[in-house]
Amino acid sequence: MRIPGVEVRPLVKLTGEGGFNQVIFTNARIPADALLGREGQGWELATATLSFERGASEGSAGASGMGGVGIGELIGLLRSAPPELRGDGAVRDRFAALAIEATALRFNAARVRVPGLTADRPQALPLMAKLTGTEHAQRLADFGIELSGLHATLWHDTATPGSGEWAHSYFNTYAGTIAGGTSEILRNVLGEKVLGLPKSR
Amino acid sequence: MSVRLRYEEEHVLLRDEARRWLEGHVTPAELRRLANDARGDDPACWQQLGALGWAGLVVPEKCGGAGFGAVHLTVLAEESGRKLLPAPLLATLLAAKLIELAGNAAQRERWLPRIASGAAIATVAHVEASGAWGMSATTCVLDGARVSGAKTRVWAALTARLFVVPVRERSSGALRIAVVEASTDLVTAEAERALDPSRRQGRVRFENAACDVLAGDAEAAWCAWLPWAQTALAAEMAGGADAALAMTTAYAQTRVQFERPIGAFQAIKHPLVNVLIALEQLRSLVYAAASALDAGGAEAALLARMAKAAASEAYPFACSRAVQFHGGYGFTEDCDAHLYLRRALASRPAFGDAREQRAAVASALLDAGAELP
Repeated sequence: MRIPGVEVRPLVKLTGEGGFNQVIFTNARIPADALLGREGQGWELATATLSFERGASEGSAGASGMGGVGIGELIGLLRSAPPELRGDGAVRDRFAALAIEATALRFNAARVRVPGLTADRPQALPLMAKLTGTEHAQRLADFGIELSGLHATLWHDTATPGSGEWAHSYFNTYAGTIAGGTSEILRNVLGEKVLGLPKSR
Repeated sequence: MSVRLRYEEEHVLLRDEARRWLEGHVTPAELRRLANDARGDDPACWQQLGALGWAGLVVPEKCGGAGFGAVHLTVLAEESGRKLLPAPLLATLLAAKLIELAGNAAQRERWLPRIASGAAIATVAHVEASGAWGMSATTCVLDGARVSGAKTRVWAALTARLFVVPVRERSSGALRIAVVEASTDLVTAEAERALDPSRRQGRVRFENAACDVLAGDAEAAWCAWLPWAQTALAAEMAGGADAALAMTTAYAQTRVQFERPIGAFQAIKHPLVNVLIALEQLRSLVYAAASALDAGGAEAALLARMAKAAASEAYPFACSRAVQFHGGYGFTEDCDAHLYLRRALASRPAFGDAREQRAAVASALLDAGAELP
């Protein structure tokens, strides 16, 4: 990373945090033995690496352990919420839908390991794990923001402890829905590899 | 998460056997024939289901059944739903289960063998004219050993030999469960014109009809039974949703418009993937609920509600996309999509619709301090 021609420019996430960078290569010379694999094999290696990230390899439930993250906090928030919120039918209905989804995703992860229960579409669960987990996390965090009412207008304001936490979490969920195969690309992949539908191009 | 998914070789064998038999015996032509038939199901077919041991699938072995559990029931229900089996199989299986849970040993031996052999179609008559369906909503009255009152939307009302009815004892006000034989003229059944021709239903009136009052704690039995009903129906709905998805996917692969199969367009592809996602979550919940029931776990009731909620959303959704994506053809009676849509819509409210289930899930988690399964 320190050879001439390699420049690192930090990026700032929408949360205000660092962690990502642009890396610009300008005539940076590397020795011939730095080549991984064969020349021309780059795409193959890149997609093989990606398949581990997306969890499509056999038996894997995917990179997102996100099925359960958040629902526990949501339960805690509502159990201690004022009665007008906790007793509200619309709030309870939406909460229950998220709890059901969280439970379903956890059992999706368990079912991947039971071959008889995935025999009809063996690739479906591994290929959808990241997609479903990240979208669930996004919906859940969005609901958390809504439940916090006007606290949602604050961002880590010292006078209001906890303010901005749900928004912070929600912003970060976009890393999940965009990276490692966007939700839109993954729907194409599922449609083509699992449902056997023709490619879009 | 303490529930362990159970699915063994024996379940695979049942699935394969059921799938094969149903594929061969429930053809689209047969479905249509029975849809237009006055009775709505084929007695010869029912005899075969009895001979296969399916009517007695979950009846204890010493009462002539196979003695299988909830996962087996789920497997059979899923396969039968896939083909829209136009036979009162689910009704009979669930009625037998309620008798088993609410009756004493002598009563189980009296009623279950006839059901297991296929000799008696049975059904639980629990829905009131008002649409209320819970046990405590019953307006049927028990006087001594006689039942009076009416129930509506009873599955297989006209072909059932046995009705299992929640009743309220006049003298004590206690809730009981009674078995009433259809053979007397004190029990009259009238067909209802139903949305779903593949699952016939009717109104039943009891006029001082003799009954066998099941000896056990009725409310406890009902509470133990409801998760079986919800899980089995959710499984049946999962099978149907799968069939709707499969038929639409096949159509999208072959129907060509704008010089390519329509499935190439993301407006078709992405919603079908959303159907797939909903279906897979439904199946996970169904098998979790069934495994919990077999393990006798406390989470079974909550999981069954979750499964039914998921089914009530996923099945109508799958069928809605099936009709829509079959285009003009989907709008006609000729397309099978609407047969599944009718089954989906009629199944959606049974044993509690999605809204009702979600309310119960919220209560369990927020008010009763239950753990997420």
